[in-house]
Amino acid sequence: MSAKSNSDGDETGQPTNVLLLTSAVDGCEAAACRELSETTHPSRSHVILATGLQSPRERLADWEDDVGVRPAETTVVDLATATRSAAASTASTGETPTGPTGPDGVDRWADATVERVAEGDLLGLGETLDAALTGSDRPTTLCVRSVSDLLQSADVETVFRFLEALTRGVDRAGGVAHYHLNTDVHDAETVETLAVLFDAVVGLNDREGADV
Amino acid sequence: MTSNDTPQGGSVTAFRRGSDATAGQVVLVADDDPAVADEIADALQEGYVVRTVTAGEELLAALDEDLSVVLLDPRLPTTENALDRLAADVDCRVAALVPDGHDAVDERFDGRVRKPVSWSALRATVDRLCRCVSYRDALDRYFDLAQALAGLDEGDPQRERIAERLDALEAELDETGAPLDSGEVYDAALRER
Repeated sequence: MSAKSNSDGDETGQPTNVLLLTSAVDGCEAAACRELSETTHPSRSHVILATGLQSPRERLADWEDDVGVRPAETTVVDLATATRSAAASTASTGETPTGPTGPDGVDRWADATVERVAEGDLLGLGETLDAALTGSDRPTTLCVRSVSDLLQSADVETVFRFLEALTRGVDRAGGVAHYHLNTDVHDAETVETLAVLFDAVVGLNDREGADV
Repeated sequence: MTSNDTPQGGSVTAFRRGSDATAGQVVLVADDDPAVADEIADALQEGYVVRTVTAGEELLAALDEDLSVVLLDPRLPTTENALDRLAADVDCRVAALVPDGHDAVDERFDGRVRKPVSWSALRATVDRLCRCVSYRDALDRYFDLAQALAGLDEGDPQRERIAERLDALEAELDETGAPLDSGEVYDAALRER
């Protein structure tokens, strides 16, 4: 459980780094994300939510809707994007936790840590994610949503190199991670090039399920 | 990394020479004291191709694309110029040979080795810096192959051969990257050409 091997997947055959292919017409994204987020029960986990297009507030609200279970520890790593700041300029300012408030008006995510990284700063993103991955004694689950957002601010080759380093870091930290990629907005060649980096690929029309 | 400090380092040298990750990489030693430059070159020659220079102008003339690591005493008069050319280079790392009593070193250096030089510390530093360069080199080849694979049709007979080469490259990346810390890995992966 605690010591994962430093190569692809661990001894139990559980893949460490999974690429999750999504599409607007598919509709399974939430369910797949939930399943991949629950390899260790979230109530015992440190869950790291890396978000691009969505603000931390929206991201936490989605977690609440899709998974429901409060993680023992939550970190949101926010890669602000230009698209979002144009779309929702008021949503995510300041360092205060930004979770949805419950019916009683109490901020349910007051204990979540929010880390911000400037758009396009992949080095800063890597360092921030690495600190989060290695910063807790709990089993750690990382959800990156999404690789498509990364591809808005960097070319595919740069994102490929970044993801090689990140998947390596997840392996090292003994965590598990999955990475959303919206196939509606990338050509098949981009998707297949990136797929090489992962232990498994799931999603979309039962695309090849494993071991790329 | 190695906790047993072997001053003249026979066993450490033998171990490092066995590493494919850094074999044959070119190291330039720049120090205005020829005796120091030669000593450092001797300590490294069993795993690397070593060149030495002892004057500022020579240093600038010696900066070429073969180099993986430059070790340089920052008191050399052309240091600024050399750093301008080498800092954040994708294919080369530069370490300061820090003179006794000089603690402040330009932050563009990727590493530092204190004088008088400990041979084990020297070799450990050069090994890490060479690995950073090798890791990125392997990563660039990995991307090229992944892209080549993605460009082929499902039934293309070349796929199997490329998949095998990708497996070999993954092993190479693991072997090269394993001793590096994550900051070094991200730095190597994200430097811009």
